[in-house]
Amino acid sequence: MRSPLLPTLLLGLVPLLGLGELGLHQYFATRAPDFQDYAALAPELSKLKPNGAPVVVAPAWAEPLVRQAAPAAFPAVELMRADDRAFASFVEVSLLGAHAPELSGFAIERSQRVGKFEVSLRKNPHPESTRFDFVAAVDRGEVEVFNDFEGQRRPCPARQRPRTETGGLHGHVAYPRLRHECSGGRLVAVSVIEDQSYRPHRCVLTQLPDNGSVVLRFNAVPASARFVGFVGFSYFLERDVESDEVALSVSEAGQALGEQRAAGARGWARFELPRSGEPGAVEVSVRRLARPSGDFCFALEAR
Amino acid sequence: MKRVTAWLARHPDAWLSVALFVGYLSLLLATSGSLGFMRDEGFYFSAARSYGAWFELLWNRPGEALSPAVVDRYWAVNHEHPSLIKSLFALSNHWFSGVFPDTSSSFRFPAMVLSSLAVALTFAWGRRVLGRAGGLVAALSFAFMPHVFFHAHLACFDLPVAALWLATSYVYVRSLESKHRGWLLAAGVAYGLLLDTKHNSWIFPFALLLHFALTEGLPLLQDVARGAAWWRRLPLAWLSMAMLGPVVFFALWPWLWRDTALRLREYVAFHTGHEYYNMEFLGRTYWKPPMPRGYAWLMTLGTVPLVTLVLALVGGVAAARKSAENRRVYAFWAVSIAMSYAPWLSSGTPIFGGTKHWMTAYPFLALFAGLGFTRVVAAVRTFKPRLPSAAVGAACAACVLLGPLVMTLHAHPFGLSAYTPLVGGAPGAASLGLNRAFWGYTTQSLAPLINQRAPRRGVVYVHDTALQSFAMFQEDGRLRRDLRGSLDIGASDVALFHFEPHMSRVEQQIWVDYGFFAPDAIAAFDGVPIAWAYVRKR
Repeated sequence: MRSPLLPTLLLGLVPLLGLGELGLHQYFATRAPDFQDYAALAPELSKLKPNGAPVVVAPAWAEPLVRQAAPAAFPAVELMRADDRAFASFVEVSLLGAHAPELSGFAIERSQRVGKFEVSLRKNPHPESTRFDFVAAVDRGEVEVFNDFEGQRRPCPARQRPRTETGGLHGHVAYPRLRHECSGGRLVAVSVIEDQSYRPHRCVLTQLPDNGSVVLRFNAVPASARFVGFVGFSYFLERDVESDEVALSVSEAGQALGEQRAAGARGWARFELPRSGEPGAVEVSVRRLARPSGDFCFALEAR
Repeated sequence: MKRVTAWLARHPDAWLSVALFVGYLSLLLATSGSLGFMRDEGFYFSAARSYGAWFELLWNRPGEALSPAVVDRYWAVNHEHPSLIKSLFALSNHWFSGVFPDTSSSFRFPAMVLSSLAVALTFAWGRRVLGRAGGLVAALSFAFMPHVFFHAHLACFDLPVAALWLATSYVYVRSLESKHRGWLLAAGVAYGLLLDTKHNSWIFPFALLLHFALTEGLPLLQDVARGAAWWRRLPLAWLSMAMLGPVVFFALWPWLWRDTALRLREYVAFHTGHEYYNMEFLGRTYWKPPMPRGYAWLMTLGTVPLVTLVLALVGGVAAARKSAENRRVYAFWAVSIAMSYAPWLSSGTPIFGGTKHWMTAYPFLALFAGLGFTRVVAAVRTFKPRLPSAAVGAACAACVLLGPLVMTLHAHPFGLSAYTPLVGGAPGAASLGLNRAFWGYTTQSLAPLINQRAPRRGVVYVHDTALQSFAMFQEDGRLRRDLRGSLDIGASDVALFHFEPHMSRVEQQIWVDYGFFAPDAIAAFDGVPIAWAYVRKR
């Protein structure tokens, strides 16, 4: 009895499928750029990258390779930015035909082929220019930090410890050497946390007392339409906590502008506070709502 | 020896079995030195050393060794997993530590032997049911699944449990076919060994039940309806497995010799209530239920060569035909696959171990691939009937095995990062957000940087590598012995980072402490970064 033709034909093609798969394997195994390609990209990227335009790599998994090859293209303020909206333009390094989804609405102003890469300058149609970065101000020491308990304020002086403390695999985020130290060994310092996509954000790490609050006072904040803030915890460490853990409130010239609450499960959460009246000293007050709570971190910008 | 040679000459397939066993074992041994140590291997090295010390005590002072307090002292280590495989690691280390060029191979050797036995047994079973060509393609399709080859090296339980599941299945099916009582006895012993290997063994009885229901269910119901002696249909091997299995399990695991019920409950509770470690899948990190129900299926599609899967599908269809011979055997193969995957039908089952969780299915998948291969060869021969059948078979075998072989060897030592062309290889998988690696074993790929750049008596932050694994790197001479592994980034001169999204916090700690963001070295597979290292600037 003869076999039906179509099934027999399909079965006969299976060995060819094996060879086809082998060919595709060879193609995919050698398709991505290698270290030499990245090394060749680095000088071109330095030339093409305008100041203040963060580099975004697509697909994102290739970013460490670009970062290794061109470290100068990744300053801290850009690599660990609070969000994308504050930047007028981005440099997209794309390989394998990928594009960064976060830049999908940003027009390509110019584009250049560099080896296996496409380097594009992409314009943000609605940039929110930052007039003042509170995280950078803390880094520069342009802040006064207090412990506030029932209206009594005790300063938290700036200190330099011999080394950074790190929690490692399962422990806390980095506690930097340069820090403000409050009573009980609690600190306020610029550190980094990861958001719900595990991306890094530079922020002011604020360890809170059980009672009272920590106040950060900034004296030279220029006028702007609003404050844009971000609150969160290390997502990995606090992602199970859904209830409010910490409240952050902002006041300017003694006038309360608003409060934002944070919970670990919400990740890196954005909020906005409109500014009203005359500019003056800005105070950021942070207090604990739940015990225990993780290491809280915030970023704030006048935009 | 002459008698063995003469017997082998009369049984060429036995030669093939031996050749497969020796060949695969040799390949594993030859490539083990370039494969780093998994996090879990570090724990099992420590456990094996403890058990080994107890065996030595048992040999020298049995009375003391058998006292309950002493048993507990030595066997408390890693008592969340059964003892058989770790005991083999211990004995192998004791007997063979001078035979291999490195210490780690003496620990890994039993798992490599069991993996190679699984390849040989896949051939033997395939040969018996499918013929020589089908058996050979089945065995090699199993051997050259990239993730199988990776796990086959390790001093872990995942390939051993696949080997024991396969062996127990084979013995059980033979016990159904043969009147020889030896198979019944062997089934009981084999199940005891399976029980003492890994908790996948708990599912095995369900495979037996399902197989029985599929093959004997209807006749049994008819017997019941007729009032006939239905219980005569129950396999005698069940009795052997129910009686001998627990005895072997208990006898080989000294931890259970005291407070047996309590410790058994503890063992079961550990695995039924296992912590949900993190696992990336399609761009999302899962760390708590519900877990994605498509995980096991998609990961199988993405990691087992497509040609093997298609052959298995062809074989499955052929086996399902009413006219198919050996339906009882095919049913057992199908049931083994189904049961191995069954836990991942639940969204409550953890997925942290990737493909290793259901690796017990793979020998059976390969056997179906062998069956499919026989159908493919038959189909090709209809187009070229004049060609010698051996030539057609050899050409087809080369076509369906070359890809898996090349992919597997190419993936080494990044086996966990290996994905098939179906998902675009490693770069495609990374773009899809599939896990690139876990277990911190890629430290070995960064060893050249560590050995070259770390200062004398320097400290290396090991990240996801267990300190015991780091110590083995040093004991084997893969890392400098003056270095110290540490869990403290702040104290380190070199900091490692094994990429998984949820661990990005660790890299960020390194950035803050080291003060820069550019890795000094990156270990990449097919252009995809897997692990990287930072050297502190002084």
